[in-house]
Amino acid sequence: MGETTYSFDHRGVHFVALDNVSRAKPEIGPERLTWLSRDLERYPKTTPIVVFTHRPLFDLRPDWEWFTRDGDKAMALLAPYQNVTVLYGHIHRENAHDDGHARHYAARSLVFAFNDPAQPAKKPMPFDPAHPFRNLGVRLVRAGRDQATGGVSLGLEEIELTMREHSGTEGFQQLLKATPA
Amino acid sequence: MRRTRGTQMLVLAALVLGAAVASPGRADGPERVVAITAHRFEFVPNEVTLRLGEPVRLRLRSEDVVHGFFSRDLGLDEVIEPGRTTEVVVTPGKAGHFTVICDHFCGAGHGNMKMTFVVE
Repeated sequence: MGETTYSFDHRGVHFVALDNVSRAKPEIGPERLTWLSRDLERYPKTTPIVVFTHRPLFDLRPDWEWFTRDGDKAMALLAPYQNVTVLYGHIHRENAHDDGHARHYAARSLVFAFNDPAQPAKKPMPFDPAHPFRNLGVRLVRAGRDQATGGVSLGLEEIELTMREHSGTEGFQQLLKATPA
Repeated sequence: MRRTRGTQMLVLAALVLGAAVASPGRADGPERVVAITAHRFEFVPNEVTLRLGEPVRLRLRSEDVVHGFFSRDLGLDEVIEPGRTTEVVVTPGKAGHFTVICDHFCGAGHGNMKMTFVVE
């Protein structure tokens, strides 16, 4: 297995994979925070930065273990940078959070889904045999040029999956054929 | 060696002070002690009622592996190691139900290992 914390650059964006799931406790740890500090100092404060983590770096629901003990230290290191986005998993549901400086997004899971963190107790969403993929992650994203602004326009479409004849590439081709362009 | 009266008084004072420090429930700490046992994947008991503003000494033990004992709301952040008793004093500052989780990965059911303090 390779390194679980690393970074790379692509088309002017600095991407950072930050491991906050491999230690016994839900934390990044001092060694990786030191690494992050040294990694970031090479970049101008205007560089767009995308951080990949497993757990959220903010206190979403600490009593559900939906947090990172030292996530605030990572966000403090990222604070001088003007364009920071954090993409994380762990919670098995969609969530968007703006802390006033950075934006944090979680996407749906590909397996089971958890309930809304506004509810009192954490529990997996009920399985519906009639819609086995409901609340799960696969959606179709259409990207194009926004004529009005000149920027990129993204459109999200829900896909109600069905059990397919094939898995892997053949199954994916079947999915694309079933979805009108 | 011949002790002076002053030295004897000092020895007596130290003995009295030492006895007070060693006695639970005296001026050294809270009256009430609550014992909580951790094992995969539960705390026993899993619900404890506390009184608002009353300090309580929690006596934590593990019967198997290392567990965590964490509540952001109550300011609890302990590690429970097998073979060693962990003690912590908590004084609830607000009423309500507060969940404590094991935040030290302990196996497949770790994600549901929790208990509740009810503060009245």
